[in-house]
Amino acid sequence: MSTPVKTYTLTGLQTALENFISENFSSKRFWITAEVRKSNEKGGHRYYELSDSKDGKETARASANLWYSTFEELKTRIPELEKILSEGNKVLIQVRIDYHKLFGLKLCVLDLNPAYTFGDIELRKQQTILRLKQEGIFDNQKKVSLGRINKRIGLVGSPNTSGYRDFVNEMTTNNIFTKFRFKEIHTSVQGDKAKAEMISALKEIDRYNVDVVVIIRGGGNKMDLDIFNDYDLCKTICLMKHPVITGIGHETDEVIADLVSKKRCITPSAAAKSLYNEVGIFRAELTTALDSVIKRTQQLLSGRKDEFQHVSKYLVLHTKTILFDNQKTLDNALYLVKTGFEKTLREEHFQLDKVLIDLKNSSIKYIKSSLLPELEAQLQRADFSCKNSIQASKLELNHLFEQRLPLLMRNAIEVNRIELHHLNDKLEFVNPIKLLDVGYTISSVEGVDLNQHDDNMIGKEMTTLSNKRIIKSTIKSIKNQTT
Amino acid sequence: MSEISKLNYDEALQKLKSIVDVLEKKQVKVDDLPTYVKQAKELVDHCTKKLSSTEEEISKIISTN
Repeated sequence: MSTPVKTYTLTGLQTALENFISENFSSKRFWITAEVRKSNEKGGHRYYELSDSKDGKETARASANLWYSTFEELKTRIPELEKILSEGNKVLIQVRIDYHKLFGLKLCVLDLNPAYTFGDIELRKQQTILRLKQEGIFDNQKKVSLGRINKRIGLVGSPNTSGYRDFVNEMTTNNIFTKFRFKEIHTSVQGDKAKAEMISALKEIDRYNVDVVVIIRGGGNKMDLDIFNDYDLCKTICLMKHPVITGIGHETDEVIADLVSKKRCITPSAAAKSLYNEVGIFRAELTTALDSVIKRTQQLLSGRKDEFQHVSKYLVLHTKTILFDNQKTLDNALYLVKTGFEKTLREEHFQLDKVLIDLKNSSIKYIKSSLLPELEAQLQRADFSCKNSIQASKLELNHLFEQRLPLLMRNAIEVNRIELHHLNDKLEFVNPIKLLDVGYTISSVEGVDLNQHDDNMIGKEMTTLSNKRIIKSTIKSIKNQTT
Repeated sequence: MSEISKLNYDEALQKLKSIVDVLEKKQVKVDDLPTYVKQAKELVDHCTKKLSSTEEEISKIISTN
């Protein structure tokens, strides 16, 4: 017969465990090292997943929480607390072991030692440097040529930061050189997305035609700047074909991005100054070189001046002699040409006169013999023709003057006479005196014809004119006459 | 010498036309009628005389040639 097995409920078991851990561990504190695998925030409380590993293999895992009140208290002492407790960092934390029958084993974070994490950052930094060197790309940027004049600037950074604004302000308002052209790619410089955005921005800007790429980041604490120790970011810088200048604001620790870049500046403003100062220095060097060239040229010219003057004098003298000799030869030749020409001219003139006399005689003879009779006949014909024309014109004129002109004149006078008669007839017709003679009368009021009056004329004096009398009467009534 | 006798033919004719026009439109006061009629008669005579003298003069010029 078997003995009955003792059984427990889960609650009983969990309660027993809870009580055991509470009795044995609740008053104890432990400093442990672990890597933060995951972190979450809810209602101000932080929840973490911690892990430990050896030789790349995970050896332990536990959940932990950091209550809101403890977080706020620690933050006043450790400003970088949130950064330190971000994923991937190794941390040294003080914990208390809690066990709850519903939620299981939990570590409650009570304190944190930042120096451990910083040491870890340094360790990772050294590992990254070693890795880049082993890959043979650590000094790549040192081999890239950085020109003296860099006007096309590829700018990577966050435009909302004061460091970015300082850089742009310095570049555009300084007294030395401001004609820079910018190709800006804006990225975050902190936070979860910063690393990926910066790598993408650097790769993109490396494809543009720029002289130099400048990475800008304002000041920040050790944790803030840890992104610039990232292996992938630093590798991207190493592999860029354009020279990279870093303007990352920090006072003490260098970041790996500074080490692998072509040039590092301690602030964004310093990066700007180095760019425009180089232009200024180059310009000054050019001015000095130009001055030297001018000075040396003046010296050479001065040295050659005497020699030139001597040669010049000799040249003038020699030229004058040659010119004098040639002039003399030319004068002789000219004299010969002149005398020869005059002689030839005289001879030709004589011959010409002779030919002219012969021609004259021949012409006269020819005219006399052949042309003269014809000319006389033509003259006679012309004279006859002229006389005829004159006679015809005279006849026409006579006809015009004696017959047509009187006719035209009479017509003109007759027209005027008819017009005058017509006017006279008209005058007879409108002549009022004639009308009076045949018995009509003319009546007027105030010297104006009755028909010209529009006003009421009753009571006014009317003057009636007949051929022999002037009758004055007073108007008593007016009656309109219908026709 | 009256004013009318100094006028040339065209001027006299123009003046005559304007008197006829005034009489036609009855724009003259009754008291002024005799003056207008007298002036018109003088103008007609002057123009007739001018025409006759011009005709004579032309005939004389043509016949002498």
